[in-house]
Amino acid sequence: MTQQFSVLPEMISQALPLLPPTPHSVVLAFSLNRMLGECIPPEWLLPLQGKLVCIQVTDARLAFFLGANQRGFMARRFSQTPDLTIGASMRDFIQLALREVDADSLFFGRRLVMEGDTDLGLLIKNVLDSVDASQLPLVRWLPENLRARIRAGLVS
Amino acid sequence: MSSTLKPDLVCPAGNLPALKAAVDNGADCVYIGFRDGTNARNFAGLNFDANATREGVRYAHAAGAKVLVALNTYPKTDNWQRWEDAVDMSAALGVDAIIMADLGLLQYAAEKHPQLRRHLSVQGSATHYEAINFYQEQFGISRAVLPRVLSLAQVEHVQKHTSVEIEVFGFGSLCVMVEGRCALSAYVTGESPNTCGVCSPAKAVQWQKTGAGLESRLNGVLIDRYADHENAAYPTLCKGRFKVGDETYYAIEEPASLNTLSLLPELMRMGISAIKIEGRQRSTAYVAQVTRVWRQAIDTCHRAPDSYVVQGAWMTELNKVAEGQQHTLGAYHRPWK
Ligand code: SF4
Repeated sequence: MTQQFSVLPEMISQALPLLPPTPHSVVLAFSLNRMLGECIPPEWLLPLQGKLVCIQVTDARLAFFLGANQRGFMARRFSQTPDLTIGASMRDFIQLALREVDADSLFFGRRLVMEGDTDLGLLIKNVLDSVDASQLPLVRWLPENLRARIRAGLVS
Repeated sequence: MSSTLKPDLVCPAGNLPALKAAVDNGADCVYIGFRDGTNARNFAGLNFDANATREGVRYAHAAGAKVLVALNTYPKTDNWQRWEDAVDMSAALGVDAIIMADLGLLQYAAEKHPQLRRHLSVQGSATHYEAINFYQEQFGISRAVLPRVLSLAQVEHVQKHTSVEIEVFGFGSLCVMVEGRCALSAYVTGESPNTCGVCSPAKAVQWQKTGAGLESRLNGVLIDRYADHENAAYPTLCKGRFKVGDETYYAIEEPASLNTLSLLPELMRMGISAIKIEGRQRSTAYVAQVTRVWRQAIDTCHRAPDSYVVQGAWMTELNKVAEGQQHTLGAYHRPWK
């Protein structure tokens, strides 16, 4: 399958890396915590405390740094040596969030890269998978035409 | 309409959204596990607590589907109580059956909750009808799940000689060493499905990009090295590439997914009661996709077994989620057996 990264308007994907890492990590941590809402007890994230996870959006040259505290996910500062790095394209991340692809399938197909502490990666995947999709902010916020374009990208 | 038995489609769920996806897409039964070592997919963040189970049972029953709980690992002397509690909890939550392998646990469940259906897990490694009939006589099991190592002829032989319902694997990752009898994972990591509920635990897995390719290691042991164009697989010892003599290859098993869509008419003719989809560790998208395809295939085959053909679209859908992204009939296709 050929990769197409035409999902985000060019301007946005170029502008994203210009932001300092902390603000978008904060936004991501905030969104994830809202998503976990009441259905996931924060204790599930205990193994993440004191750990540093880097989420790399490969085509947007964008990296998020996350950890966890007693209340849930938290943003962390940039680091060269995260405990775990998860990388994929923006489109694949969005499709994962929309529950339209399966993380293991992306991994087998080498579209999702995971390096470092595999146990943490599995934990994050499983915790996010346990959230009811109807509660996902992404699902509610993304305009339908963008979702359709993302889906269409899969079959091209 | 054909008169053959329509096998139950038994689908995996590692969490509530996956269970709902299975039910919505036509699963007859969904199998789940609790959040501890009482089942063979004891992964961080996966599985069901009491509340999620209660909601899952409610959701499934409202749609006419059943919930099966896997309690299919082997208790040890110091933690037996946890398994007993898990049996009691299953009964209290109103699940439709429990899937077990340990003899003591089967006995406990049969005595304490005789009304709760008991299935023999694949981890029990019963490969012949004598064993299955023994479990039936002793513990009143209603169904047995066959390991993924029997040929079709062997499956039929078992089916013909027992009144216990037979469930076979239809799709998913392969486990080639007679499941419960496999010690490969314990050999490298100290933990195996039967002892700790996990094969090749994630904490022992390292993925590393090197100059030579993407390497997977299990407790430091190199399992495989993938060139950029190659599909990756779960880093289990059985699917490693080994140097044997001068050749480096998949000496035990190729990393491929079992896919028996083409065997459906044959399985139905034999009177197989249920077809199981592997993958409680997979996400909702996988469960939805695979369940949808298998629902269509089983319905199509049941309506007209003689004109049944595997549709290209089904294979395309299943190829997207396959481990190693290729398919095999596994041991079912061993004509010489
Ligand atoms: S090592 Fe392979 S054969 Fe053994 S339990 Fe794990 S998946 Fe099954």
